[in-house]
Amino acid sequence: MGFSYLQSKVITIATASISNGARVALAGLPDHMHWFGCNFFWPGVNSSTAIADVSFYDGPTSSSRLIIFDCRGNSLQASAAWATGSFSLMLEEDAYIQLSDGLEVEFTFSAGTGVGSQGDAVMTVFYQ
Amino acid sequence: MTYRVSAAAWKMEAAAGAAIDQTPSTDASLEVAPAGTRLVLSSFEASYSVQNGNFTGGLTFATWPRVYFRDASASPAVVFGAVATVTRALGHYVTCNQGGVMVTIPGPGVLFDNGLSISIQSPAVTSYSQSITLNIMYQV
Repeated sequence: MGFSYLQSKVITIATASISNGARVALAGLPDHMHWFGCNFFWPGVNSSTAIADVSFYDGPTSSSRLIIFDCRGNSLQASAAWATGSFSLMLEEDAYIQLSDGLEVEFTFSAGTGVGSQGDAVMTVFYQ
Repeated sequence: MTYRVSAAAWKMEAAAGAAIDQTPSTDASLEVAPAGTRLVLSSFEASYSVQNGNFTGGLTFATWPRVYFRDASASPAVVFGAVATVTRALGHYVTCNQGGVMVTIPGPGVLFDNGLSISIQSPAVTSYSQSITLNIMYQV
């Protein structure tokens, strides 16, 4: 089979929904994906935090992480308070990932560093 | 014909003054496939970061944080190893706004014909916490 054009979706995750360890469903994505890419902006992250990462899971109850992105590593400096990132899973043309219960995103961060308290996170996902 | 691939990811953290030394004996999920299983690793990404970007402790090539991909036998043999990519480095005012590099193994990938287990190692960093993240994609 050949690739067709990718689809994209902009997802805003309100500050109120971003709590340490809580998962947020990314609604409207297919369960059968040949390609997945993500670009995100997450305000509130700085380099002095002990933990800050974004993980993706197959559904709300799965304990197996599919993808993790270290956001502390993307903070510019200790006084900066945002993280950005881009990553993609580029599969062979005929390969696919099967999700059984939808894609969920989880923000993990340590308290007391301003993480997750300075506005909505925005991510654009690309998929096929 | 299409085929299914699997994704898995880990984050290993250590508090200030502690090393990272994780194997299937400390984290069972690091045995991706048991001995006797055939698995093809198609891509991986390993990232390393230290709180405040303080890369102290005299890291050298011999001690640099790294990931080993091994078989899953009782004495796991190393198939290959990879150093973790620094995601932020060199002090507070130097921009290193980049995640780790996703390495796509050319062709069909690397065959593990006796299972896959992973070990993740980094020496202790004085005064700051550290972490290694690892993403892999594979076919069983």
